[in-house]
Amino acid sequence: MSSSPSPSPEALRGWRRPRERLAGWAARWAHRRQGADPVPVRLASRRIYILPTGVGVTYGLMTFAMLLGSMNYNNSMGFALTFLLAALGLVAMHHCHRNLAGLTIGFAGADSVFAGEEARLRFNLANDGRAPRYELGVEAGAGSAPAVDVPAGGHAVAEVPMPTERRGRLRLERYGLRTTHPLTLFRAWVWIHAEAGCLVWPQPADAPPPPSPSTVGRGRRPTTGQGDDDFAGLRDFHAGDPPRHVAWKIYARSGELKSKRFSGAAADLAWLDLRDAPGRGLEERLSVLCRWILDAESQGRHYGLRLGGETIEPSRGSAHRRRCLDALALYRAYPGEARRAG
Amino acid sequence: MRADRRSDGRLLDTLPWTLAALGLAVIPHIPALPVWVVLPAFACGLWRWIVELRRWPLPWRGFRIALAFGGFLAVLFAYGGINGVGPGTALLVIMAALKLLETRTRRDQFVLLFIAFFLVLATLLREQFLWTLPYLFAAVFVIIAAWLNAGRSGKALAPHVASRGAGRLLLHALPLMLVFWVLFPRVPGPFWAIPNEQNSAVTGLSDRMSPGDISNLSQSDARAFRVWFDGEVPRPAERYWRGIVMEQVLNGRTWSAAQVVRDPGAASRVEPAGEALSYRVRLDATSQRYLFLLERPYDVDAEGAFLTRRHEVGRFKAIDRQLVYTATSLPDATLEPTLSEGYRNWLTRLPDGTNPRTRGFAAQLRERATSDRDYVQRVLAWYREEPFFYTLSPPALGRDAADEFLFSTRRGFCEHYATSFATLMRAVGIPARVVAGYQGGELNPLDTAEPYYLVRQSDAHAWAEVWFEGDGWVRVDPTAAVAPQRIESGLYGALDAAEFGVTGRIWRADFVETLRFYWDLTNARWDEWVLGYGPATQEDFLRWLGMERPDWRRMVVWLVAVMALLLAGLTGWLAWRHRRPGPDRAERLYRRFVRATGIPRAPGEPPLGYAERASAMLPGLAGDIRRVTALYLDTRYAGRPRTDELAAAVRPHWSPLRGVWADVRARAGRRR
Repeated sequence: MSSSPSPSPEALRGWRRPRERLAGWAARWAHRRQGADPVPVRLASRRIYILPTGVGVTYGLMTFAMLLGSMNYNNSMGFALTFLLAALGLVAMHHCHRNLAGLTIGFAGADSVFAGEEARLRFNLANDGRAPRYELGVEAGAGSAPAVDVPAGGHAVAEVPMPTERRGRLRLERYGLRTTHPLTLFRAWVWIHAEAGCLVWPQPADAPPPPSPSTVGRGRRPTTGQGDDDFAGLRDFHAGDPPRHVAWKIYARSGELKSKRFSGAAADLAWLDLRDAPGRGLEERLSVLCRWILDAESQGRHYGLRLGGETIEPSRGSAHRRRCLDALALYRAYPGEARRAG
Repeated sequence: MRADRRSDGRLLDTLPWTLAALGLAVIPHIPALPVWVVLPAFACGLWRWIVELRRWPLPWRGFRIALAFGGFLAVLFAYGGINGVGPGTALLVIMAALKLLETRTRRDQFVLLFIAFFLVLATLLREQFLWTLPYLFAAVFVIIAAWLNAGRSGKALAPHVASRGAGRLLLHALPLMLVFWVLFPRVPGPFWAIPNEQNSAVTGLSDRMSPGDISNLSQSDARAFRVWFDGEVPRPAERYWRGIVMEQVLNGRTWSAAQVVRDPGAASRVEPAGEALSYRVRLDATSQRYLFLLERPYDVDAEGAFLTRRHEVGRFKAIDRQLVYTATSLPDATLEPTLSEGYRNWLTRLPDGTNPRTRGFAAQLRERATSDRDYVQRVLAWYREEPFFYTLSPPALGRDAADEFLFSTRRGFCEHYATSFATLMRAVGIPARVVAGYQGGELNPLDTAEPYYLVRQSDAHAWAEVWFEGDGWVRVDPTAAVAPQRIESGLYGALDAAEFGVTGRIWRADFVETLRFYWDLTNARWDEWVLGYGPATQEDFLRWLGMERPDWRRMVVWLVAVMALLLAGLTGWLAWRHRRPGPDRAERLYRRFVRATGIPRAPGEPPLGYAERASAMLPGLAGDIRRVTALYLDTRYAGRPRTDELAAAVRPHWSPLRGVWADVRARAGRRR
C-alpha cells in the first residue's frame, strides 16, 4: 500500500468491522495455542470452540421467561416444559460439538483463475465415523461454502467461492469449519492453520494491439517451420495436435491418424516479450502478454515467453500455456500479496 | 415490488413442519379462543401454504400492518385487556398467523416456532390434566423436528431423518429434564399478581340458592376434592362438609351468602369440646373463595385462608387451581353459644309478604309444640309423614317458593328442603340459615398406603342450621327426614333406578366403578407428585432420597453434580456413536495370528512379504503362515470370503487369555 496520508481501505475496513477484527484476533490466539496444522487435520475435541448463536441466546431468554412464568403461576407443567427446553439446549450443545469432532478436513486444491474471476477453493471433508455429520460450512477468507452433509464413512467437497482482484498468489494462512447443527442454538467451529490458495493469472487485456511483426519471427527458427498457411505434407499424429490439423479423410479411409503439416510466414513462432507489450505499468503490460498468450494458443501457434531475465522456450499446448500464465502470475509478485483469512 | 414479494418456493420442504408444529400448538386452545381468532388463523396457514405451492406473492406490507393493528384492538376490546393467559393466547395466535404471511426465509420460521413454544406453555398454564404430559412431548417433538429443518441451509431433512433426529434429542434431554425436575429448587410464588381468569368454568357451588330456578340438577361425577384423614374417620352420615353459609333472604325464594370477610374473633366463638378430627384436603379449582371443612371448623392451614363471621373458611383470592390444606374440626364443639340481640333479629328476618301460607302453617305448628326443639321435631316429622318426594327433576317454582313447594308440588332435592325448612324456622323466630357444601364421600379402596376419600360434585348438598340458646348452631338436615338414603348411601341411593337412566346404571356397575377408582387413583398420584411437586413436596422427597436438610444450596450443588455426570455420559455416548468402524473379523483374525507368531509385522509391510520373512524365521510354522496368509488375502482382497476357514486355521495358535492381554497392550501402545 502507498504511504498516502489518508487511511488505506484495509485499515478502514478494519475500523468498520470490529467483529472481524475480534475474530481475527481470536484466530491468532488459537494459532498460538495450537500451532500450525499438518494437513489434512483430524479434528480433536479440544480444538473445537463453541458459542451460542443469536437464535440460541433468544432460546435461552425464552426458557428463562418460561421459568419465571412457571414460578409465578407455581405451575408444574410449566416447569416440565421449561426443564425440557433447558435440557434440549444442553443436549444440542453436545451434539453440535460432536458434529465436528473426529472429522478430517484438508485443502483439496483450486484451479487457477484470471484476476477478476471467482476462484473456487475446494476443501475435502472426510467422515470415517459411523454416524453422518450435517450442516458443515467451510469459511476461508471472506468467502464461505454452502453447508454440506457428510454421510457416515464418506466424504464431501465444499467449494468456497472467492473473488480475486489482482494477479499473484492467492494465499490463505488459515481457514475454518463451522456447524450449527442440530438446533442452530450453538455454533461450533475450528480454525485450521494451514495454507490454502491458488494462482491468479493477470486479467487478459481487452483488445491489445497484436504482437508487432518485428517480434514475430525474431530469434531462432525451428528446423521445421510450421504455420497454418501452406500444406506441407503429412506426418504421424502426436498428442496435442489441434483437431483441425488432423487429416480426417485419411483416417476415414485407412484408420490411421495423420496430421497435416503446414508451412508459411505465419508459421514463424512468436516470441512474446514483456518489453514489447504496450501499456502503462507492469500490470497492464502483463495483461497484454496474457492476452497474447491466449490468442497464440487458440491460433495453434508456437510461442515463447521472455519476462525480464526469465525465458520460457517456445512450444504450445495447454501445459505450455499454463506454464506461461503461471510465470506471469508470479512475475515480481508482491510478497504482501497473500490474503489473510478473516 | 410484486416480484419482491413473490414466494420462491424455497420453503416448500420445511413449511409443512412449521405449519404442523403451529397447528399442534394451537389446537388445545381452540375451545377457549373466539371464532374470529381461530378461523382467520387457520385461513392464514392455508393461504401461506398455497402461496408457497403456487408461487403467489405474499400480501402487501400495509395490509399486514393493518391486520396486526386490527387484531390487537379486537383482543383489547374482547378481553378488556391483554394481561392473562386468555388474551395472551389470542394475541400469540394472531401474531403467528400474521408472521406466517411475511415468512420468507428458513430463518423466519424460528419466530413461528418460538411462538409455538409459548402457545404450548399457555396450554399447560390452562390445563393440568394427565393428558397434558403426552401432549407436551408430542408438541415439543414436532416443534423440534421443524426446528431442525428451519436451521438447514440446504435441502430439508427427509421426514424420517428429521423425526429420528428430534426423537434422539428428546430422548437425551429426558434424563436431564427429570434431574431438573427433582433438584431444581422450587420457590413459593407468585412474584407478581396473576390476573383472575373470568372465563374458567365454575364447577363449585353457587353462593345463592333459589329452589325452583334449576329444574334439573346435574349428576356430575367430577371430583370436588379428596380427603386424607389423619386418624379416625367419621361415619358417612356425619361427613358434612360445610362450605357456604347463606343467611340473607332476598325474597320469597332466594337465599344468599355475604361477602367473604376475615373475622379474627371467629375462633373465639367456638367452644372446644370432644375429640378433634384432622385431615388433609386437596380441593380442585372452584373459581370461588370457599374451602370445605367438616363441621365445626376450628383451624385451617392453607395459603391465605381464614375463618369468617359465619365460620365459613374462605380466602380473598379465588381458588383457581388445586389447593391443598390441612384442617382441624371439632365435631362436638359448640358454635356461637351466644348471639347478640341485633344479630338474632337479622337471623330471623323474612322479607315482608313472602310465603304467607308457610308462615301461617308455622305459627299453627308452633302453638301445638311445647318448645323450640319440639317444634323442630314436629316439622321434621311432618316432612316425613307428608308425601314429599326426593327428585333431581323437580317442577319449577314461582315467587313464593316455600309455599308452592311445601303445599303443592312437594317434589324437590336438598335445596328445596333446606330453604323451606329454614323459612319455617325463621317464621316462628328461631334463628336459622342455609348451608351449602358436600355430604358423604367415597373411600378409594385401591390406595392401600394412603387411603383417601373422594368427594364428587354429585355429593353437593344443602342443609339448615338452627340456633338454640346454649347449644349454639345445630345442624338439621330435612332431606334426611324425607330420603335418609341420600345421607347414608349418597345421591344414587336416594333416587329411583328410573331416574338415573341407562348410562347411570352402567356407570354404577361394579367393574366400571373399579375402573373409575383406578382412574382417580392415577389422577391422585399425578396431582400429588406432578402438579403438587412444590417446595414442601420437594423437601419431603429429597429427604426420602437421603438428602439431609435439603435447602436450595444443597439442591444446586447436587443439581450441578448430577448434570455434569449425565452430560459426561452423553459425551461418551456421542463419541461411541461417531466411533470409527473397527477392523472386520478377517482383519482381527489375521492380526491375532501375527501376534501369536511373536514376530511383529513392520508398518505397511504387505502380508505376502511378511509371510516370507516370518516363514524364514519360523520354518516350523511355514505351512500355517502360508495358509493363513492365503485365506486372509482371499477374504480381504479377492472377494472370496473364507472367514470361517481362516478362523479354524488361526484357532490352534490362539490362547484367549494371552490374546486379551496382548490386545490390551497393543491398544495401550497405539494410544501412546
